[in-house]
Amino acid sequence: MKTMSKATGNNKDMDDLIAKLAGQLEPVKRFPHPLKLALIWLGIVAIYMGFVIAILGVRADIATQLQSSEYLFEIALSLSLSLSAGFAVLWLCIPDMRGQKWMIMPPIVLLLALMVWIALRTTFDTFHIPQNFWNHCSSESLLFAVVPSISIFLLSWKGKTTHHWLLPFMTALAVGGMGYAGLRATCLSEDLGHILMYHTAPYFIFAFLATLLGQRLYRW
Amino acid sequence: MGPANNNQNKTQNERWTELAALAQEGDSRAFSTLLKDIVPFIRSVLSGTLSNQDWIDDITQDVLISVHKSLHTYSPDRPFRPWMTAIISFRRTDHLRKYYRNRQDKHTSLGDKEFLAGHVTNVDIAGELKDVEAALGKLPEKQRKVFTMLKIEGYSAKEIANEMGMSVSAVKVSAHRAMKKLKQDLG
Repeated sequence: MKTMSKATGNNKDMDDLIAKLAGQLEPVKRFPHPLKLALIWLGIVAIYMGFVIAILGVRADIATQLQSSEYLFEIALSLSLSLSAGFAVLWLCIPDMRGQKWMIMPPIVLLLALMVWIALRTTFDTFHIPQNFWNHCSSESLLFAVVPSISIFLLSWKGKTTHHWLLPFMTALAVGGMGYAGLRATCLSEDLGHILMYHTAPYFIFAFLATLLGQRLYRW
Repeated sequence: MGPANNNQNKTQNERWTELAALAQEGDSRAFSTLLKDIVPFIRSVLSGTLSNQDWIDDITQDVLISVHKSLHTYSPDRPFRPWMTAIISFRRTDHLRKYYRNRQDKHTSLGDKEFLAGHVTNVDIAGELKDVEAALGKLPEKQRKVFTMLKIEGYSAKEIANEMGMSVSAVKVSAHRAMKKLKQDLG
């Protein structure tokens, strides 16, 4: 009998809640298609990257580097990591990802490929880890990250994600991949220690902080 | 699943899709009908993995609020059910995460009749449970804490070892001794 009265009470609560939610309903503006947002982000990032590279100056040996298949492979890998992660972010900010859950996989596979590539280079190339934690490339890595991270956050923030951890992590991959490619296009150094310390580590720190902060910012 | 059921599901999905599209335009009656319609579905999904009725009610209410909050992210050219199922799964995980994060704060006496009614299948053995509680009370504090965390609250020996600054084997020995004493006490 007690259970029955409890169930009746719960049903009443549910009816009250439904009446309240229906009473508060207002017409809503539909969230834009993720592809549209992704293309906007891509446009913003392309213009910004062009602007930053123009300010910092393209590396002096770019013509030689563009002949190198290793360099081209690395740039292509980091750019495709960035683009696939950026696109994934804008689908991840919708509860069911519009049925496109496969989009999580390409950035993860490309990240692993980039890590394997860097790990392979550590076995073939001699390198030393720099003693200084800060270098002009560290500040440039931040410069490359500013607009891509802010713009992707603003575009995805009004969505309602059901992936609090994955979304900020993908944001970090999108920003990191783009920044890495940007730094490889502007910095002359081919020393692996320099690349690990100043081109890669800042984005790992950024990924860690973004994931911690993002899961609060995207909570709803 | 037979063709009749498939047809029924298709009709239900289409109906929800239409109601959600109307709700996005501000039709509160359609929204109210939609929410009433989806409550049994939400409950049935949750019942598949949760046995606590209070949790099911709480999460169902959370899902309704979430549907209201995120209605703008729904696209009527997609079926409504996968969108809602993603929200149900998210809210269930969120609820369980909060519960397990705070579980060390949740203590109750075995004399709490309301708790027993909700969590113990056979309330008639509540008297015996009180004997267990009394026997636990006689154990040295450290042993009682180890035993409670390991056997009642479900922590692993490693977690307890970290929490109490003991080795894993010391935790196991302590729990074993506690169990032996309880057996002696309870006959």
